[in-house]
Amino acid sequence: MTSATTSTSTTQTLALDVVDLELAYVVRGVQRPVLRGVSFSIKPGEAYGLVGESGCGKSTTAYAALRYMPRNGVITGGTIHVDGDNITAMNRNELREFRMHKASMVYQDPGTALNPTLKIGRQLIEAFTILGQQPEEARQNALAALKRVQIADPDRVMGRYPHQLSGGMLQRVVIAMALACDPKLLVLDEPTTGLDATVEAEVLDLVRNLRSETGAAILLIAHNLGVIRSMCDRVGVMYAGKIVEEGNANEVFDAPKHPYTVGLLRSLPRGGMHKRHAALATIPGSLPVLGADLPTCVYVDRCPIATDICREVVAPIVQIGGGHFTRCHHPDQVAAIDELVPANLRDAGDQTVLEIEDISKTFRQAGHDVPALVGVNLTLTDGETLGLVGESGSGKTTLAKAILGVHSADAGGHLTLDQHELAGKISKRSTDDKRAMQIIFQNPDSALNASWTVRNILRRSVRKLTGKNKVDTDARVAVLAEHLRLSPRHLDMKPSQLSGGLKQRVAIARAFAGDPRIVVCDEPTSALDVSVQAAILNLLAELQSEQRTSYVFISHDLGVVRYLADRIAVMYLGRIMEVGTTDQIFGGVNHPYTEALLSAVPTLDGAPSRRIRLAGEIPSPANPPTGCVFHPRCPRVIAGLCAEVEPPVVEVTLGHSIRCHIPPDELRVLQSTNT
Amino acid sequence: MSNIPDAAAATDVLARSLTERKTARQERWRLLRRRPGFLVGVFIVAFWVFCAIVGDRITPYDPFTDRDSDCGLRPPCPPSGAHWFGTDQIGRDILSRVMMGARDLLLVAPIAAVLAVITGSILGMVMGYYRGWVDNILSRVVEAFLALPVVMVGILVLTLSRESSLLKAISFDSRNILIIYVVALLFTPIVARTVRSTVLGERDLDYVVSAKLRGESNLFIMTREILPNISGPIIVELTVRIGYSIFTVATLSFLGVGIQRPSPDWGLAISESRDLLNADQWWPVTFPALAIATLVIAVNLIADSIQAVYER
Amino acid sequence: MWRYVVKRVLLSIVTLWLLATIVFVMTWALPSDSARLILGAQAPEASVEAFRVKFGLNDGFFAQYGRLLKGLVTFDFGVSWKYPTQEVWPYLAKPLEKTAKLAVLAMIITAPISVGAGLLAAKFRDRKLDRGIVLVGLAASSIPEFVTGALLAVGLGLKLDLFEPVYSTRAEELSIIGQLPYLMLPALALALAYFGYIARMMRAGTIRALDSDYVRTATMKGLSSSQVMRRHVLRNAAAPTITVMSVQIGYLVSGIIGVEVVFNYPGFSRVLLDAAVDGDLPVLQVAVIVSALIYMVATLIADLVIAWLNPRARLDLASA
Repeated sequence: MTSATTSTSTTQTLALDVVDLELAYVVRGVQRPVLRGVSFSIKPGEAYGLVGESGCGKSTTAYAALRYMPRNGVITGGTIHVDGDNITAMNRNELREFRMHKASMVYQDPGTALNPTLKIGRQLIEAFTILGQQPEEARQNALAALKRVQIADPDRVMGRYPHQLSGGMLQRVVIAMALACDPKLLVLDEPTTGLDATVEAEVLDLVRNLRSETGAAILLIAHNLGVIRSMCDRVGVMYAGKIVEEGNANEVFDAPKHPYTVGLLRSLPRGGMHKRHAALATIPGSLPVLGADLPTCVYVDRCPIATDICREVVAPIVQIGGGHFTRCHHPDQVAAIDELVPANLRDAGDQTVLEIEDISKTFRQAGHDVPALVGVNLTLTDGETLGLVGESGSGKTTLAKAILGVHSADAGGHLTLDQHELAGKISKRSTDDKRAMQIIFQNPDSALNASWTVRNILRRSVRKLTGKNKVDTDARVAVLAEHLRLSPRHLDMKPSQLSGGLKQRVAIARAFAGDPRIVVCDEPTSALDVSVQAAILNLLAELQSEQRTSYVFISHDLGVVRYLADRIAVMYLGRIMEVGTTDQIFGGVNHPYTEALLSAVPTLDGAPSRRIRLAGEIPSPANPPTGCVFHPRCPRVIAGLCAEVEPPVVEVTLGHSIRCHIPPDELRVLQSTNT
Repeated sequence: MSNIPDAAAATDVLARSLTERKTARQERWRLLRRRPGFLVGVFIVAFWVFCAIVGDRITPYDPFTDRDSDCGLRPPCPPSGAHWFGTDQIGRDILSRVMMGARDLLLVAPIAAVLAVITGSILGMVMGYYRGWVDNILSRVVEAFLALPVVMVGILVLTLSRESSLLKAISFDSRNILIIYVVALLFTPIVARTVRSTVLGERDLDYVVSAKLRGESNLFIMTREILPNISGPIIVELTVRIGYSIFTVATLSFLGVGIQRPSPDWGLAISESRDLLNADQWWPVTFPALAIATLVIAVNLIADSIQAVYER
Repeated sequence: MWRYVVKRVLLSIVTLWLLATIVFVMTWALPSDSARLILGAQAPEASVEAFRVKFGLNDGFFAQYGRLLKGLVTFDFGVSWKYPTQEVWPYLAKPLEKTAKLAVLAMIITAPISVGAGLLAAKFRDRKLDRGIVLVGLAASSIPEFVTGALLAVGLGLKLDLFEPVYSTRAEELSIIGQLPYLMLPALALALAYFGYIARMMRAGTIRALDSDYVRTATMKGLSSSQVMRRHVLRNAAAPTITVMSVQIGYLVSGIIGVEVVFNYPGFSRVLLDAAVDGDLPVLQVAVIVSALIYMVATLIADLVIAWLNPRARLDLASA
């Protein structure tokens, strides 16, 4: 084995030391640089986070730390040392030994990270037998490892196949597997992306506990800055294959010194910010394409404080002190970057646009009735945004589709739009009703027909919804495009030629084609990068203010909902558990589920939040618990009552109601003594 | 799929920048032209199409007249300077016959494939789009058709319909038309199944929901929204089907139930002269066999390249 | 698992009924005068009519259809029209056995070679070896079996004199080893055709597994590439290959006809072709249905094996 040859003169051997790493992908025979000289190090036991938007190279860096590259990847320069060993110089066998003993990885999608044809037990035991343990010893160790990641019945889990376990369980198994060799370095690549908020919180807690237990150094990749802040000691901000700022996590997030970090943080709604207070900051321009030629500062094209020197000279590393550095010519001027623009938005009206009365939806699946929505009652006023939150399987999207008539609700309920009853199915609704309600989908790639040009997409919607003639249609398309800041050049392109943000703008323009009364926004920004998200959210707020459109805004991101929504409804297993104004929901007296959900979100502001732990997993809607559907997981369950009797809806204050057996006053006491 | 998300994202960005100026179609065409397999395939197919069209205007001899006076022996005569590929058992020049042997095959097989792809696509779209009982029933029928060996059913239908007065009434070339119908019928369920599964992947996408929300009819959604997005798989299916169609028609002709005398069809020629193998006379079988082999390989090289480019 | 098996078998029975119906409708609708064909042009009209009455050719659609379905249930299809002393099933069983011999030999030759070639191609993806295997596979599977057979007969049979270029009934008096020179060329012709399909599928399945996240996990655990191959790749790559092999066993029946005719092999094809020419409908119908049945049984077994290999497939199929 090669001996430690670290460039720094620390007395300790670094857990990970990356020096000037350059890595390229070969695309059609041409090398496209992805990492342009990445340097950072992690001390034993330390947690280091890498943040940045998609394509910045953070995942590539994570995999490179175990020298794993896609087939077309090549390291073109620099070195990587793990625990003193130069892994860039290892041959195949040394590399195998290294991965076996010194470093492990936890992946983004635990569902595909495990072999679908082998039982969990066999895959986990393999992680121990490979270390030379005998089968029985390995089995005992595997059971112990499952206990260690807080799996209650390890024996049962060992006998399961991956598809029989939930995402949270699978991620625990993967973590158990990663810890089998007692690694010096644990790399986590977006370990909680795709998990529900309460599950995410559990997994993060687990990693935090295990970290202090094992003393492994951690490299954490996440696009969620709150996750990084709550987990990491130090953080590196990546842009276009370079670390542009690094330092203590609190310092970087509270006093950023690189224009990109400043832009990134300002584009996030944080600290209880609301659309009425200020518009979100946006970063102009778009991410550079892979392999773009960026000879000087990588951020210069989008930087608001760039000067001539930024285009001529490579940005120097400027030490701020305490290990905090920025790669910028003008770190002292970042404070001059525009403050947030105060918003000038009209408030929501009080005229009821939509009334949802006792809407239920039951699906038929393999001979069983699966209730996806149960007796939902909601109202929506003009110009109002109603946020719908809840974890997967809560029925948010089913409710949206029932409103839109994509599938008709069960008999018995009523949908009333502007004082007239709506037909259940879209095909039975009038053109006026159709134009009145439109949707913006989560994924613009599948929402826009890839074989149509943008112009045709908009034209068709305008004509179909408004019945305008050809000339008027084209005029309307031009107006829409201008509103959404789409240039005529964009109109003649097909969706695949547009960036994610532009695609979502086209989708918004389409939704607004016929001056809708209501637009359902189904996670409209969750597929987008933070800086793009900000622009879309601003646009939605402006459009609403101008057109008096009401939004039903579905999102799993509580920060975004808090920023945009006027009122919020919290859903669990197809039922509304709590509904109230944004201030009421975030201000206190909550349903126990809301309480847990709010406390599960890692905040970017570093405020220590008290976690409410939820037992067990979200039950299947096919087989909902008796009484209150939340009772098996509820930390405040009343024995003998909650499991038997369905709770009533109780009005706490005007417009704020909770579906719970515990009286609001009692809840207030319970929740205030706890915090 | 790449393991590392950054790689996928990065190539996506690159692809986007490349197509900024070019349409996807031009890009595909450019990629196709760079594939040697595609070029070889096109060259060979073009050669046979050329021979089939020009026909006896360039063949060294008349393919239908016996030339037994040309060699001293009883035919078949082995390859010689006068007859490069030799002559067949009744003394016709094999080179001339091979050159014209693709005439019926290259007419019958592609038409059958096109027909099957049209009917199969319509059927598959209806099945995949409407789902429900229509799909359930049709799927079972398709399943039943798929279990039937194509060549066997071909034999059954083609022999039993020898005396069809209706077909005789249609036209002079009734046999070939019958073959077209039979092969198209047998391939339709296969195409339908492929198209159905492709439509299933599209019908629940948000752009279809969006079309429903603005009140489009089912016909519009199927033909204008979904069809353009599944044209890739349908084109791939067509090229693959043409290959199988040539394969099937050649086999049926060889079995005596396909293209009939006096056509110089290759399959038929092998069938007529296979007994000569007993007498060590190899050439009447070998040259038509090689001709079939080159044609089907060429067609499959093209199909393979198109598939690779579309599924990139 | 048992629920799945029962469901799958029931579906197969429905398919069998449907395809029997398709075959019957085809034979019923097509204008073919079997009595005249079998008795010959010179036979007096009276005896032709007597033939029709005897075998129920004048009966209505449902009477004849009912006889066929009853035959399927009882597995008693009556007698051949052409050879009335022969019962249909034993008459077909003998040649079918000979055909099966050829098919099994072809599978024995081709299965290990194609699976190995597919694995090699995947392992050396985009290298020369891979391209070679892919090209040979493409060529082998695109050429009709009778053409391959004819070329093999000329090349290996006549020119190199390695095997017998044409089958002879003399072979049947020899031991199974002694028969090999006669069986080898037809079997090779079939084997080549299957090689293309199986090798290409094995390659695709292996590449998909190699590119998967779980193989990445296994590699990161520190498993060697051969351990990864054995423990994680093979099982997952097997499923699509097994499907293809089962489908090929079905198409074998089609391809085998051409091969049997090229080599004058007295198998299933001869009975089928004779019955078709003669209009011997009971034999023809049952021959076609039986070959479809072979395909169905093969795919059924394959589906069950896959369900056993991959627990997730059980789920997909159960909900299907």
